[in-house]
Amino acid sequence: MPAGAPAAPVLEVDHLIQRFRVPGGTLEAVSDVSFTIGRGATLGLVGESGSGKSSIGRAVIQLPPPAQGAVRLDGRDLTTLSKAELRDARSGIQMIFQDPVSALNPRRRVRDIVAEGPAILGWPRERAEQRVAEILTQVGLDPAAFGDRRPHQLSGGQCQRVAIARALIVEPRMLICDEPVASLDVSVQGQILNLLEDMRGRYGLSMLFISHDLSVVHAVSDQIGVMYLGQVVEYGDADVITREPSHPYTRGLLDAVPVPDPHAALPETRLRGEIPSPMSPPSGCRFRTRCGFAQDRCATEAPVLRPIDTGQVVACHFPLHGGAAPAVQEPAVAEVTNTSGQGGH
Amino acid sequence: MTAETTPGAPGPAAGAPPALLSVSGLTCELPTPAGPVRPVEDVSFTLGHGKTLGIVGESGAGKSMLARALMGLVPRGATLSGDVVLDGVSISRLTGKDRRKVLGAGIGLVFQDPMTSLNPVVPIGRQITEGMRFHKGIKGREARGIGIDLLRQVGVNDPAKRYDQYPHQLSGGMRQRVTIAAALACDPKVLIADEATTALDVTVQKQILDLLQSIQRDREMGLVIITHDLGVVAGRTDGIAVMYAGQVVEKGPTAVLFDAHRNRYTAALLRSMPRLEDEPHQKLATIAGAPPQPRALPPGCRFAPRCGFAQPECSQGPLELVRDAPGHHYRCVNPREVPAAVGDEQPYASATGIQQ
Repeated sequence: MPAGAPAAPVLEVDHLIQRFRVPGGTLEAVSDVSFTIGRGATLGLVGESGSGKSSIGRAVIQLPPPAQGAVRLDGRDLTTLSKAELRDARSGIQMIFQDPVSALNPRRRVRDIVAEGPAILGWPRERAEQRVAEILTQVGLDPAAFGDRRPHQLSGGQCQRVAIARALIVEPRMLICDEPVASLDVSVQGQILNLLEDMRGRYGLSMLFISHDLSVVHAVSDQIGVMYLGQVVEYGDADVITREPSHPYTRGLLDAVPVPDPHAALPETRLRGEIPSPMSPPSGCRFRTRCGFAQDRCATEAPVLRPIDTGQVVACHFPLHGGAAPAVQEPAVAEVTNTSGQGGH
Repeated sequence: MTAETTPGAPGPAAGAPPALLSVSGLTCELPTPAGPVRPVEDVSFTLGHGKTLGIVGESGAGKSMLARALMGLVPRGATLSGDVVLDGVSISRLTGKDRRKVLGAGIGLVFQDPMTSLNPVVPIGRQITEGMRFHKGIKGREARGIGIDLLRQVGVNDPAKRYDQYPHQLSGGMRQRVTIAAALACDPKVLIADEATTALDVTVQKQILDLLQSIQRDREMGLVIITHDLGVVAGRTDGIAVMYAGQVVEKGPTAVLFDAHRNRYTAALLRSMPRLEDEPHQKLATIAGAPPQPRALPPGCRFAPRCGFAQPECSQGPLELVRDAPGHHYRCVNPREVPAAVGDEQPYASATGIQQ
C-alpha cells in the first residue's frame, strides 16, 4: 500500500442506484453503492443471484445507464455523455461475459470479432490487423491457426480468450468481468484466471470482477465487496474478507463454498432460505430475515457501513467481530474505497 | 458426516457384500459419420446400501452419459454392453416393460436444469406424482396426499399451495427441490443427481446437498452424485470415481482418493481448484490443453498429451485399471508416488488444508 496521496482512481462509482421497471412495479436492483478502483487494482463483487452485482457491472458500462448516481472513468462522468461521446469513452472500459459462446457472433471469424473495436474507432486497416495478431497471441491463440475460425469451432475456454482479446484490443483502462469463468470447467477456469492476471499486469488494467464464487473472486481480487439485495454489506481486503468475515452473510457465503477436503467437517448450514424478492426488501437490515443473529433493532434500523478493527467495513448492527454498532450512527456514507491503488504481485 | 469410511467397505470397492447397485464393464457406443465413438467405456463400480458415490469429471468425460446408460436412456442407435445389477436384478437381461418397471421405480434421476426437466405447462403436483401413477397405480386424492408430503419432505414451504403451481412460479432452488420430490415419488433404491446443484447459487447448492444427504440417510438409499466439482463430493461421499474421456481413471474411498491418489489427472484436477487459503493473485495451477475429442482418442493413456509426467510408454497400448489397495484402483503408467508423509508434491487436502 503506497504511502502518501494515492493516485487518482480509474473508476469512481458514486451513490449508484439502478432501477428496472418490471410487471407490478419498479425493482431497485442496486441501492446506493459507491466504490473506487485504482490503477491495476481489482475489486471483486460477490453475492447470490439477485444481489445486484451484475446490475452494477452493467450500469458502470452504461448498459443501461444507472437511474441515479455517477460513474466516473478517469474523472469523466459517463452518465452525462452523449451517445457519440460514450462510444469513444467505451474504448476505455470494456466487458467480458459469463457465456463466451453466445457473446460472440457465430457467423463471424475470430479475426473479425476481435477487430470490431478498432473498426468502430476507425483505425487504419494495417494497424488493426497488426494489433489483432498481437492480441490473439497474447491471449494464447495462434492468429494463423485461429484467426479464420468461427466460434462454434472453438471450445468454451477458447471463446473466452477471444472475448478477452476483443475487449483488450483497444487497450481499455478498466475491464468488467461478469462471471467470466462460471460456465467453464475447473481446469480451464484456472487458465482464464491466469490469463486475466497476466493481462492486468501487461496493460496495468483495473478490473471489476463479478462472481458468485468466493474462491474465484478471492484468487484475483485486491478487495472484495459482498453484496446482498442491492447493497454492499461488507467490504475489505480480499484475505481479510475470507479469513475474518464479520458480516453473518459473508460467513454464510464462505461456509457454503465447497471445500475439496474430505477431512474438513462440513460447516453447519446457517444460511437458510433464499434471497427475498428485491421488489419488497425487508425493513431495516435487508439480511435480517435469513440471519441467525437478528434482533429487534435489525427490523427497524438499517445498518450503515462502518469500519471495524480488522480493517474491513461492515453494515451490521451485530457483526461476528468488531463489536456492536454504536446506538446512534452517523448518516450513512456508503463509501467503499479501494485502498491499495495498485495490483498485488 | 456420511464418511464412516471403513477401509475396503465403501463405494467402488469390489467384492463388497451384496451391493445395491453393481455396474460392470458398462460401455455405450454411438455411431457417428466418422465411425463409432464410446462416450462411456468399460465402467465398473458398486454402490452399497445407504452409501454415496461421487462421479467426478470435466465436461465431455462421459459422466452424464454414464447416468443415462445406467438407466438405458441412450440415444437411438446407441449400443450398450456390460451389466447393471440393481438389488440383485440384472437389468441388462430385461427388456421393454420389465426394464421400465425396474429402472423407472428403482432409480430416481435429478438433472442439472430443473427448468428443462420440468414441463412448464403442467402443475408441479402432477409432475411429481406421474411416476407413482404410472408405476404404482396410485391415483387421485391418495397421490395428491403423497405428493404434498413429498414436497414437505424436500423443504418446499406451503406444499399444499405449491402442489397446484407451475414451475415458473418457483425459484431455481425450489424447482430443484420439486425435481427431487419427483425422483423420490416411487421410493427409488438409488438416486442419481447429475450436476443437480451446478446451476444454483453456492448457498442454495449447500442446502440441496444437505437435503439429498438427509433424504439418503432417512431412506437408506444409494446416492450417486455426479459433478465436475471435487469440493461437492469431498465431505459427502463414501467413494469417488474420477472419469476422463469416457473411462474411469481412478476410483477409491473418498479419503484415499484425496490423500493418496495415484493418477496424474486426479492430481492435476485437485491442484487446479482455487483455494481460499491461498494468497490472492497467485498463479493458479492449470491443466494445459483440452480433453480429447471422442473421435480422436490418443492411444494408451488418454490424458498423456496433457500430462506433465507423460513418458513414451504412456502412449503404447491400452491402459488397464491397476489395484493399488483394496478398493483403490487407478489407470496410470507413471503414477504419483504416495509416500507416508512428504513427497514430491504437496499432500492435497491435508487435515488442515493449510499448505506451507
